[in-house]
Formats: sequence, structure tokens, C-alpha cells
Amino acid sequence: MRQFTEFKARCAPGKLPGAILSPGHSLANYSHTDSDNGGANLNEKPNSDLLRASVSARLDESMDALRTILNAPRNEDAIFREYSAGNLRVCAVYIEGMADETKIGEFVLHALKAGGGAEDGAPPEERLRRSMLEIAQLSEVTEYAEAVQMILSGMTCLLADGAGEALMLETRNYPHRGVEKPTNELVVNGPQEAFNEHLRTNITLLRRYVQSPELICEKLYVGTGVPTQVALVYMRGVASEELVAEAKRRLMCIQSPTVMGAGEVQQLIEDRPFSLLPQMLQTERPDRAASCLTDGQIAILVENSPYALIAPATFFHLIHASDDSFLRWQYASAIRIIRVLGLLISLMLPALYIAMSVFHNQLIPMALLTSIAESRANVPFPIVVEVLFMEFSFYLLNEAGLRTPTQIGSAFGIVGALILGQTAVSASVISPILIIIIALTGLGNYVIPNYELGVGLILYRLMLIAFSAALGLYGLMIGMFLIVLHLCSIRSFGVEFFAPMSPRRRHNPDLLLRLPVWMQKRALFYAKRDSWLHQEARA
Amino acid sequence: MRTRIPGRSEALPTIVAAMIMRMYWGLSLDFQYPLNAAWMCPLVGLAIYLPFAFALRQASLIGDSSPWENLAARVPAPVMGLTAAGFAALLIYDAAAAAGLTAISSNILALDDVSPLLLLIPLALVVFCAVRTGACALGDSARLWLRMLPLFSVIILLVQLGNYKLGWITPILGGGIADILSGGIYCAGCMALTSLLWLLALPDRHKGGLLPWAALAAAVTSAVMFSQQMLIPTMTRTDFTIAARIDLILNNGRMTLSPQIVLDVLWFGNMLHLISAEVVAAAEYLRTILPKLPIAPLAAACALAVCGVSAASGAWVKSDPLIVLNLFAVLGAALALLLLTALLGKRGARA
Repeated sequence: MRQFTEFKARCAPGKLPGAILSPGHSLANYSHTDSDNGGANLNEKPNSDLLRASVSARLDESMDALRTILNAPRNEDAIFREYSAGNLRVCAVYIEGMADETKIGEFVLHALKAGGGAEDGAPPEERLRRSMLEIAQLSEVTEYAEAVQMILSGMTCLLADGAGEALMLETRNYPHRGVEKPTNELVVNGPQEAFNEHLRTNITLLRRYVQSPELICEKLYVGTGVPTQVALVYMRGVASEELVAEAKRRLMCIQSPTVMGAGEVQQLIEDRPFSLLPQMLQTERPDRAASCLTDGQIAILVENSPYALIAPATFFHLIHASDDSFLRWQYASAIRIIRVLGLLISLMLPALYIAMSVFHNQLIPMALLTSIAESRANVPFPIVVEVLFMEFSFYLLNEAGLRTPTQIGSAFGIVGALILGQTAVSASVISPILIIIIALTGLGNYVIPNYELGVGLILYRLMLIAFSAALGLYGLMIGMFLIVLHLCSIRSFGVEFFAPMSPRRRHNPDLLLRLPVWMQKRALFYAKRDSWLHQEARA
Repeated sequence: MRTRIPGRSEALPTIVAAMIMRMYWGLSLDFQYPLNAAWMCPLVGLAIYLPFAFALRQASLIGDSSPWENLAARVPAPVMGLTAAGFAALLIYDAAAAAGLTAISSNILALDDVSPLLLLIPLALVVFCAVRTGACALGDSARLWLRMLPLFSVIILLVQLGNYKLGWITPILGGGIADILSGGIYCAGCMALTSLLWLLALPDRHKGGLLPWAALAAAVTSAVMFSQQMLIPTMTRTDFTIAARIDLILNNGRMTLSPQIVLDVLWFGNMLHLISAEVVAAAEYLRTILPKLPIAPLAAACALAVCGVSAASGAWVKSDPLIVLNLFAVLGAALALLLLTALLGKRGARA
């Protein structure tokens, strides 16, 4: 794998890592100055001194500190529940709606009451942890910053008088969407589950598919102002260590104050943000993500995003669909060929039509040429104007259909067919043959399983239309050459965009044709060489 | 993004694609003396090219880096600099000739109202982008293109299957053995010029040499010339202009126009790869002389140079057969001199 040279330039040397929090790090550790910004102090976060402080052994002090940080009582969601268990004073701090109050009542407060009498001379936090609390998961924190972060995520903070630590109890239970069917990656045969906005659920879905102790899930926080939790998932011994390290490094380099979803994370860490095609794969299917993990790729899950980001992603990952693996190899191969042809039609058909109609009439059979000429006889606009008008209308309909409520969304099909199609032809605004061209182009776009690739191809298509309108086939070839050249220069986490076809790398017979599953035994070129997973498969 | 030095596995497809096209358009348009026997010239050229390939191999064996770096470690810097400048100039000149031909061909095909000079502007963009993206990306693009060539060739063959006339190959020796030999030298010069990128290529996964692939390029070109000869009877007129010859090739001789779109795609695709390959190689040689030169100005300079040289001759730049005939001798002598100096220098160090 090549060096990750392109991304280095975006993370200035000497800059401390951005908003990364692993469980051992503190939110208050962003106390660095931006030397590139004339030494401006970036610590404008409120109560930053308090955040950096350690949890006080005095309960009243700790409660006051947390009240200040959480803006209680103005912030009415922040609940402070004081309690006495024998001679032990405790206070449970949680956010209403984020924490499960039933769990707090039963497994914390009730448990405290039941175990409140025994004293064995151990520190209060030790007594609470060992013998009094009945909660499943429990951890200690020593700084207010960590405690606040966990409280905001739904955990309950238990402060005890005399304890120099805060106990963080797993009580998260907030409303979220359940596991539903995928909406954008539909398959005929195959699982019908999709990721949702709950990070824990998404990780669990992956674990169901990859039941291996080597499936590693590292949790991080990104966002210097408002942290968002991110999970980096990979298979140890299958994914290359350099890839995992690079992914972590890029996540650590994120300097954005807020990161609201997987899309933003992708834009912040991909190699070429100005390229029209994506360099990471977004998938809403856990089975697809699990398959990528076993191939040696990494997955990044982001809280509040129902997508996983997969890297490295090549052109072939973007044109493969989930059900290619679920169908027999003959059907999958045939469908892939159709998909590739659809892609080429989507990219080149309008430009080819313009080139041949305007510049290379001699290449069109006489009967068709006559038909085209007759149909265009009353159209006052040049072909390129017709094509652009129809392209714009098609995608206007498309976008409108996405944004309208479902109840009237189906009406757009009728609007599109009747008004834009039939009426435009009757009014001699466009020629009938162009309807066929645009329809085929649209269909070709819709067979592409990756949404970002489809939108990128639209933009490339417009570029090719411009080239062919100016220079005919010559312009079309120049446009295609420039596009292919650009795509060949793209890397995704060090992996060339058209690999393993160009440059040639070791791969399974699963690029354009998908040969039988039993022939897919090799470790892929971006995976760790001689990984334990593929050695066993070879054996 | 800076241009990166290509590895051998990346330089190889670029060189093969450039070799095929350079020999093809040279024999079809530039050097027509072999007449019907033009298909033999690439094979003869391969035989003549063997010493050059051997010299390239020796240059790669005398060190662990690219042949150019290996030579640079042993040859005085001014000599290397002058040689690099000479190579770059030859490559730019040839690229300018190819650019002029491309502009003329687009003029003939469709844009007959447009000045060929203006048609050089898109090529300037191509050259600029090729140098900016670098030899590695160009190599990957060439590899994809080479994978598509068999498909296009099969389409053309199938469509024209009924139109081949074996009789148009005769007389077998065409213009005579002397002309075949001259054509072979011409082809050897084309192969030598296009394989200059190999000198700069770093060792990588590709363990073999250039020669097998040069042989493949020669065989493919020979096959293409052979099939073309069976479709287009040889014109012995001496007043046939290049434009007329291009028209004959791209309009498929006397045959049906149905495969013309594929021919046009092949023609322009190959020409763009050839021009890019030569300019990228020239840029890499210039970078050996001026390593601190940023890529964007270098790319712009190459684009201007190619289009300027092409336009200076009124867009009718044609690679002078005399120059190309001597090309092999010039390049071969330059490489031999460098190699000799390197080997003597090594011996001198030992003494």
C-alpha cells in the first residue's frame, strides 16, 4: 500500500490532535494554543478550568461543580438526586430522558438502600462498586470533564461523600429508531436490516454478523466543541495495521468544532475532498459492512448516523451491490454487466448523441438519421440546449420527489410523464428521441448502487456534454481521458481508485464478473498479508 | 500533488501504448516507402531495437535504483543534464507532431470550420493535466486503455470480416528490402523514443524487462498494419497529403463507415495516450535537471511547448522522416555513451 502522502498536508505538523477523546483522555485537554493562529487561545469553552479539575472528595463541592458545568438548575434536564445509604451520602446525577430512571431507581437507589448498612472500612467508592450497586457496567472517572461527557451520553454519575472518584453507571436508555429495512440499498435475496442512528445498536449489528473475538471496536470522540462519538471497527489480524493507524490518525486530525454525521466525517478525512467521486463507501447495510470487515477494510460508525463508512474504497466497491454475493454467480455476473453498461450509458449517452447528431452525422444509419431530422424539424433549439433542458428537468423532478411528502410523491411520476414528456414533445420544445435518450440515461444512473457515485456521474456527464457539444467525438474522448486520468490519480487511504485492475494487485475473481464463491479464497491486496482469516480459508 | 517517479509496472503500459501508436501513425502517415510491406517494419524494427533494449537492461543492472539514477551516480552531472535536455527536447518535438496530427484529424472528422491551431488548445489542457497528475496515474490509465483495446479490435475485425482482401498485401516486399529496412529503422527509432520513460522507472514488483512487452507492441502494430493493408490498398501517389491519408484511415478506406466510431475512439484514445506519455517523460527528464521546479509551472511550460512547437509549423508538424530515421542512431548513441561512461567510471573508481 502506498504512503498516505496526500492527507498529511491537511493535518499541519506540530498541531496537537484534534477533538479526540478516548476513555482515558479528558475533554479539558484541548488547552493548547493554535500557533498558526498567532497564538490565539482556543480555550473558549465555558468552565474549562472546572472541567480540568479532579472530582472532589467532598460531595457538596462535587455537586456544585457539576451544577455549574451542567447549568443546573436553569438546565432542568440535569437531575441531581441526593440519597443517604446508612451514613454514606451519595448523589446521582443524570440527564432526564437520556438515562433509564427505572434502572436508577431499582439497581442504584434501591440497591444502595439494601446494602447501605455494611461498613468494612473500605473507601466509599470501593464499597459502592463491590457490594452495594447492582448495575452491570460501572467505571470510575477522576475528572469532571469525563464525567460530564458520560452524563451527557446517558450514563449516571454517582458521587459519594469521601470518594475521590465518580462512579459512572451504564443507564443509557433514550428513544431511538429500531432496526428497520434498508431504504437505499434494497436487495431481493438477503438480510433486510439496516443501521440506525444509535451507535450501540449499530455496533451490535456488526457483532452479530462477525462473531469473532478479533473484531475490535475502538471508540473515539470527534468535534472540538461538541464531541460526537465515533467507533472505529476492524478485524485484528485481517486489516492492515497501517490502515488502522492511518484511520485513527485522520480522525484525530479533525479540527471541526462539530461533526454532525458520517457524511461530515467522510468529508473531513477522505483523501481528495475536491474530487467528484467519493473515496469512502457509505453503506446502511450491516451485512455489507461485515463483509468489508472480513475483507480487511475498516468501518467507521458515527453516533446519530445510520451509515457506516468503509475504507479503503475503490471504484469496484462503489459499483458492487450487496446481493451480488447472495445470488448465484451466473446471475450476479450478468447483473453486474448490466450495471456497468448502465453506468457507461449514464455517463456517455447524451454526449455521444450530441457528438453524432451535430458533428458526425455520417456515423448514424440513414433511416435513423432521417427519423431524427424529421423529429427535430420543428424544434427551435439546438440539440445541446434540448439535452441540458431535459437533464435539468429530470433531476428537478428527482430532487422534488425526494423532498415531498410521501402522499403526493407519486404524483410526480404523472407530472413528469405527462407534462415534461408528452407536452414538451407536443409543443416542439424537445424531440421524441431525446426522451428515450434521457430515460435511458436516468435508468443507467439508477442502476448504480452507490448514491454518491450516481451524483458524481451526473456532474461528469455534464462535463462530457460540454466537451462533445464543443468538439464532437474529439471532445468526448478528451473529456473521458481527463476523467479517467483524474480517477487514476485518486487514492483511498493509500489504495488506488481503480485497483486491483489498474494497477494490478492480487484479488479474487470478483471485479466485473463474480465467479463462484469457492474461488474467492485470496486475501485482498489491502488486507494484511497471510491474515489468519484467509490462511484458514486456503487450508 | 507532485509528479511521482513511476515504478516499472506503471511505466510499462504507458510505454507499450505509446509504442504501438507511434509506430502505427508513423508507418501509416509519415513513412510510407515500404508500401504493402509496412506490416513487416515493426518486426524488423524490433530486431534493430534489441541492442537498445540490452543497453537499457544493463543500465538497470548497474545499480539498485532506476537506470537513470544508476547512470547519474557514475556519469558527470553536466553530461547527464545535457542528455536529459536532449531527450526532453526530442520528446516534446515528437509530442508536438502527434498533437498537430490530432488537431488535423479532428479537423477532418468534424470540425472543418475550425482552425487546427485552435484545436491545439484542448490538447494543451490534456498535456497540463497529464503532467500534473503524474506518470503513475498515466500508467494506470494506459493499463485500463490497453485492456479495452482487444475489445475494440474484435469489434472492428468482426464488422469488417467480409471486406478483407488478401491480394492487397502483394507484392509481399512492397517497396523493396531497402525500404523495409528503412522502415525498420524508423520503427526502432519510435520504440527507442517511447521507451525513454523506462530509464526513469524505479524497480518494483515487475521483475521482467521491457523487451517482451516491446515485442508485444511490435507484434500488435504489425497485425494492425497487416489488417489495414488488407482493407486499404496502398497508394503510391507522392502528392498525397497527410490530411488525405488521415482521412483514408479514419474513414476506413473504401469500406463501410459502420466501424468508424470505434476507429475514431481508438485513434483519439491512442493519440492522447501517446502525447501524454511523451510529455510526461519529457517533464520527468526536465525535473532531473531542475528538481525544485514546481509541478504546475512545469506542466504549463510543457503544454505551451507542445502547442507552440506544433503551431509554429502551422499545425502541420510532421515528424521529419530524416529526423526519425536518425532518431534511433541518436538515442542509441546517447545511451551507449552514458553506459560506457558509467562502466568506465566504475572501473576508474576501482583503480
